[in-house]
Amino acid sequence: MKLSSKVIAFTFVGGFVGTGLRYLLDLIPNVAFANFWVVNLLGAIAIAICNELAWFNTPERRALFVSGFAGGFTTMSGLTMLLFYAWQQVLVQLVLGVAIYLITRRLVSRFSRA
Amino acid sequence: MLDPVLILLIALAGGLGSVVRLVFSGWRGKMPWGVLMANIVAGLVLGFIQVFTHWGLNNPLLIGVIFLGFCGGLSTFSSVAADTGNYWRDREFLKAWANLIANLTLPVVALWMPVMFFVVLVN
Repeated sequence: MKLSSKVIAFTFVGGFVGTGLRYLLDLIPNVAFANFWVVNLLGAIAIAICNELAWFNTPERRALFVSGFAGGFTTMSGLTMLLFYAWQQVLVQLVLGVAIYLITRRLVSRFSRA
Repeated sequence: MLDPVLILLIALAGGLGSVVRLVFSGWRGKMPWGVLMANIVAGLVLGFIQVFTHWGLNNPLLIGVIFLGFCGGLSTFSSVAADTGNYWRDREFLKAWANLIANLTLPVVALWMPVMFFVVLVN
């Protein structure tokens, strides 16, 4: 993606909203690191929808929804820290994230053609 | 407790982290190196936070903004899942596993580097 001022601005706005929303979810009483599961698996679904639907295929929309929102909403640094407390959860979450991404793309592709 | 100023600061730091990741993500060769680099740098920043905390320089507000905001915005799970999934769809299984394992292990190594150097070796 070409770095234009518009793309940078949209990425910033998406990251601002995604990160803010993740923090708000963090404030909900957290059981067994559930917030990491929620944000990362929802983020995998969101990026799958964005990658499958042609509507998202403009630099500005990709900047806002993919680089900005999905990127800011999900977190790898949180998982890096979680690795020290519950490494099994991290491994399962990574594999499940990829699986959910693939399943969502297939479902969106099927329903968008129907 | 809902602190609007803290939420705003964390969200702003997340926006900034996302823009830095966008700049990194232009680096794509045979693998998505830019995304991996963003996750590694986020791990490195976390390592320095651990060092500063160990030295007693722990401002909870600053740590919250850097850890939850900047590092959270800089690092990404969704792109790792998407890149790995796309490799899997294209039947490039070696690249899929390499991407997953690299994004899992290298940020941890980056986190440990400052901790090992400043806390274990220097102390």
